[in-house]
Amino acid sequence: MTSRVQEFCSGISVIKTYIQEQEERKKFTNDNQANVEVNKQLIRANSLFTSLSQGIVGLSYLISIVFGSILVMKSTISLGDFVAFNTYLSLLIAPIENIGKVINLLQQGKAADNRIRHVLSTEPTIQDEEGVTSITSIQGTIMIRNLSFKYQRSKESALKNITVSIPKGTSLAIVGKVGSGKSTLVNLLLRLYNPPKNSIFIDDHDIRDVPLKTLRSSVAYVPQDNFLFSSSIKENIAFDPNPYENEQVFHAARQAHVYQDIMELPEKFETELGERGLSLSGGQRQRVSIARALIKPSPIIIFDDSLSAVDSKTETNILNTLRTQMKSRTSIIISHRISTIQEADQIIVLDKGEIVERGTHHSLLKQNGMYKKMFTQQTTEFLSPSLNGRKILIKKRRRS
Amino acid sequence: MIRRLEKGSHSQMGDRQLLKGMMMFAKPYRKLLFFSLLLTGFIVIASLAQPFIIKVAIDTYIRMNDYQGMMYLGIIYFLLIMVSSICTYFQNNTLQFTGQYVIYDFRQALFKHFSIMQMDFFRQNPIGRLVTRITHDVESLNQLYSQVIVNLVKEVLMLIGIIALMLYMSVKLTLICFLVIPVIATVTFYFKRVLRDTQRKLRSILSSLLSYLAENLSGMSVIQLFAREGKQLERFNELNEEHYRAGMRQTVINSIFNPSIGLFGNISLALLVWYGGRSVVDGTITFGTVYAFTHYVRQFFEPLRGLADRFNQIQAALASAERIFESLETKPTIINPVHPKELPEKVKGNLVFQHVWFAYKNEEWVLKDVHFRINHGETVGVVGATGAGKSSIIQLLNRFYDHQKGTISLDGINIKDVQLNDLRRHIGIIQQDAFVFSGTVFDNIRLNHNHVSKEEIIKAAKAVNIDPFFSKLPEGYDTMLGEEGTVLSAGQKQLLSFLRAMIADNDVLILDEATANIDTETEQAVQEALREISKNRTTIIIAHRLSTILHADKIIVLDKGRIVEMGNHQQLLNNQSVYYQLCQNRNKGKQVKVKN
Repeated sequence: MTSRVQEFCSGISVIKTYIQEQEERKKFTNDNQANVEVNKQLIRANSLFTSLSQGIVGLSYLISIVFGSILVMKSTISLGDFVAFNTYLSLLIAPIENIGKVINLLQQGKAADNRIRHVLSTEPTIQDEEGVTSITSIQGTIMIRNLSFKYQRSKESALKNITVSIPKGTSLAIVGKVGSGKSTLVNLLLRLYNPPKNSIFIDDHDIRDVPLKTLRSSVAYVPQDNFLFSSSIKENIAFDPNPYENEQVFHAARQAHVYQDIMELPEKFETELGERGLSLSGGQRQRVSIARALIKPSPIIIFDDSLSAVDSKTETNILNTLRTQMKSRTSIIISHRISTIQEADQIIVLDKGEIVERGTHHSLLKQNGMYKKMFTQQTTEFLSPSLNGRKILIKKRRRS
Repeated sequence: MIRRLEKGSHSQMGDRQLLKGMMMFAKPYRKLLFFSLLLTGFIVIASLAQPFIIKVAIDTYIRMNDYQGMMYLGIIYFLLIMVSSICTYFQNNTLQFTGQYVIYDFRQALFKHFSIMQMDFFRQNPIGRLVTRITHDVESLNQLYSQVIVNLVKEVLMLIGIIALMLYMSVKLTLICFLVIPVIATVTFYFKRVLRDTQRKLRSILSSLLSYLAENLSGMSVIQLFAREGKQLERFNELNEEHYRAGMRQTVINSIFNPSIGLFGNISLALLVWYGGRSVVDGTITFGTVYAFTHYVRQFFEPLRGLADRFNQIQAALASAERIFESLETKPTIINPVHPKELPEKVKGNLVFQHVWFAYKNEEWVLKDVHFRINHGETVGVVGATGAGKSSIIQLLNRFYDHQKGTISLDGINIKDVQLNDLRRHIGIIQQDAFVFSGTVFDNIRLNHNHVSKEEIIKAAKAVNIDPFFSKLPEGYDTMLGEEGTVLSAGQKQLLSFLRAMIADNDVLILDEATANIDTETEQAVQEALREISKNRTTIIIAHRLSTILHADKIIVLDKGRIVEMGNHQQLLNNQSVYYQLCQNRNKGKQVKVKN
């Protein structure tokens, strides 16, 4: 029932748009009814137990009183014995009932203990392995050699034979279809999943020999979904564990072009974000998330399709700012928009987990392949609206 | 760091009003409640009679060696046990069933109420709060119906009954016993009050602990990527420590309270035995009476302690009830008109915005004097910087929010004159950040349009060339999505949302940044499909990517809530104004040709 309500509230805009309230109410009613039924069964069992145990206790009293008094009358025992016996009996009942409860609690406790042990004994699959180097800083050179990777549950490889080298301070852009493996590649670089050994190297160290802490504190990352925490905007931007001055936070916000937006909020940088930071618009959230990455003085920076919710003017501004900054940083940018990536030092085009094209913007255009196609689709259309009969439509209207 | 604790805002709602409201919900079940009260009466009598019977046995039959009388007494005792036992079973059942029925009603009422609230309500109330209303708050009301009411009666009856019986047997002994009882009562109520404060604190710490935990778990990947585990753990430890201390305080209070009550109880017993024993020797009081007294004194403490608990339970229930009734009394601001006009089965899709002004709050206008007209079958693009008000237009059209000035009409009918469902039935929206419900891909696409077959969905997906994205999932269209299933990428979600709209087949179609995370090739396929769908269908496209709206019949350029330009692509380019600049931004380094 909890999850039903949770889902209802999170999906409310879909539900309202598609007028699903009635159906959702029906589903909720079912859950609610089922809940009552289950509880009723439990209650019945409980009541039966209570009344039975009460009855049995009563019977034991009955026996002790009737037989006791007969024994007293026969002078087998004294009246004092009789009273003492009855009192002991009444004292005995509470502990006996408690033993039952305790046994029950012990069983529950044991089950809970097992579950906790099970969780605690699950080894993290991604952790510093033996023989990890003790490097604490990274220069930013990335080498990927013959990287193939398959997710555990899936049938097909997500990445096949990827080889790329990104020298320190240069930029790599990745383009490709939905599901072509772009994000997988980034996940491996961040070791959210373990890449096979000898496939990714950072500063000539196998990425699996680099301590996780070193790796992750050397990478600034802007994820696809812009998860923000319910704390102040300032705390969200200064999320990196290192201490930051206010001025640095403002600077990062300016670089991400969200400073103006924040200053217009009632409490500026101290504004508390609600659950999941819902009070900001999608574009604003994304830019706060960018600021959160930019404040980090890390040698590597990764954008995972993370300029999608800002308009092109803001995008250009952000990119211009970044370009000056990126000279000292190795950067990886995933995007669907050519405009975002055309200045990258090298561009790879992924398709079904393989690199199908690579080069710079200009060399790729000459290759006349997928990239060129994308580029044409994205740009030339602006110049002459001449696709599939639309032209005619416009002409017609001009005439009229 | 954590969501601020819910304010214990005491509203104007008085306790009496609350109780009245709660009784309203119990009213349909008053027969059940009455029945269970009746049974309670029997149970009280039966449990009070037991020590008295022993007294009679000792004082009368044993002394007289009356075997037969003893047997009769035994039979009476047996019957009492049986009656009491059976009554207990039925009383327990009736009472707790009633509780279940009442909270069922409460939950239905709350959920129904939430489902008619406007979008704004969900923006202002965190999900966690709404979930707590329906689950936890209602649960604590259950206590009121299933325990407090009847037990209160039971305990009062017990106390009165015991005192009456004691007085009947011996006034002197009663007074001796009661020397200690005022002290016990005072101590009990004092401790319970201290305990209540501790418990309240414990609960509030626990709830911050839980929400901190929930948030950190869902944002774990961000935490790990920023290597911030240590910092987050520190804060968690602080909360955990606080919780531990509050819990320990409760334990300490309890471990002082329980023995001291025991002590007083024993003092009372000692007094009884001392005075009673002397009186028995004197012959002023019978042995059986003293024996029965020892039982009654012990029985006395239980209802007393219970009563102190009831007080706390009522307080807790009232606090929950207050929150629940407050929720129920928040009236939805966007509601169906009293005399709704009906839209035809199929609308043409002539949309008119007439000088529309809109602000989410007060006078902070998000849309200023927005005025445009979209004719049947037209495709219209809306562009502008982030925060220019693009999405607000949609929110108004769908009546997620209501505009303050001006009118919006669909086929000449003011949308405020139409029933919400009637309006939304005609408008399909493809969202950028579409929510995925837990369930299969099929369920997610068809939502609750149960008549739509799987084949139809696959056909629709194939028609727009996005079938491969779903059929290649581990179990194709039967793949479970949501928290415990496969997680879709942003692009896949948008494709899913697209299919949803295709299946719903609305007369007016709106795309809200619907292709932001889709690659160009897939988008091309979607575009083609869109062109097909948008034929003879009013379509509004909101986009950052200008390529998406090139073919629109009309493009509306918004800036800070105002329409600054309107026209088709070519006209706008010719204007060499805002739109022209946008295009130039997109085509950096490329010459934008301006045709004349």
